[in-house]
Amino acid sequence: MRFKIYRFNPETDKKPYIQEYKLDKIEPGMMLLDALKKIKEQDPSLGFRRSCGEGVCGSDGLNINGTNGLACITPLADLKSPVEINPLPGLPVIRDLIIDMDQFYKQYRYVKPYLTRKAPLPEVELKQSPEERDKLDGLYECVLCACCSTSCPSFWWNPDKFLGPAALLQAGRFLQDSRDQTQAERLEALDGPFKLFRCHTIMNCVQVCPKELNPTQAIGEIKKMMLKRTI
Amino acid sequence: MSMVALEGLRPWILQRLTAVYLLLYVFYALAYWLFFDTLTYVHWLAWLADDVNQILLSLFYLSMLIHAWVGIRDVLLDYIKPFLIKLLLLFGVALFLIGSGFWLLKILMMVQV
Repeated sequence: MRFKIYRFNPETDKKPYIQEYKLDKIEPGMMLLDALKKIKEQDPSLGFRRSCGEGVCGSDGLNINGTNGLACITPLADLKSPVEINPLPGLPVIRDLIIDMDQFYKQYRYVKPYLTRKAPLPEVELKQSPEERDKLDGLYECVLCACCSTSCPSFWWNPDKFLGPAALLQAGRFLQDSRDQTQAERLEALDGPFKLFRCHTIMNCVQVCPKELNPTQAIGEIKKMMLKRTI
Repeated sequence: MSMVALEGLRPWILQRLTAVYLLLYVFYALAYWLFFDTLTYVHWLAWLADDVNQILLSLFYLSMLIHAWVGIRDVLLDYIKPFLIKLLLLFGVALFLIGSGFWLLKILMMVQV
């Protein structure tokens, strides 16, 4: 199986280039991350991030044959050879397949991804009914791999102003949380032409999410909440 | 208009409301001219002279201008990065749409005379 991999080392290369690799032994059930590890044995200079290897940590988000996804849960059998592997688009490259996620985390931080309360915290835990807890399903599972935000054209054009699907999904997650008490402030922080409203329901985020979450729907729910508040 | 450039929710709602009105009006006008009246100049003039039709048509054009403003504004906000050029283009578009509005108003007023 052949692989065409994006290479760039800012210390030695003037321009990025594509390097070809070949793997002869492909075992059944092998994932793309396994292939990358084998390639790294051939060429230790190849840089990529990985950690858990089972789709939980979200470290190995890559652009694989044109679609963003996690290398560790992408079976080689599903990929067309040569497999073209690029870093996630839209963010600066540090080296090879490693991108600088600062902008992504900055947008994540903006939505205050933690419970905020006005009343003092009670001595006991904050309780939720099963129905209240159910509202968080499909929102809390995000692993922040950045596959969605880096597949979003609106995020490509305005990564500094548009929060992007990942951050907005988390904004939705805390807006839906019955224990959070700053819904009004959260919604106000999202108004304005850029933060939320650059979303044009392109839905690339939904297509690529390795956890099969739906940021577009979460964004729609936020818009509905805003609308309800103004009426 | 320039205030709307700085907002998120209001233009988004306006875009949807105007879209609904535009669609309903197109259905109304089509239905009227296809099923209830023959489209001749005399009929058309009489139709336009009617107060209710004037108001509905004015609302149609107002909706179209607002709808166009939000749409073009979105494209400019998406793609034009330099602040001054963005501002200038937004201003130009607003001016063009407001001008078109007044022109339309003038034409509609002529019908009444």
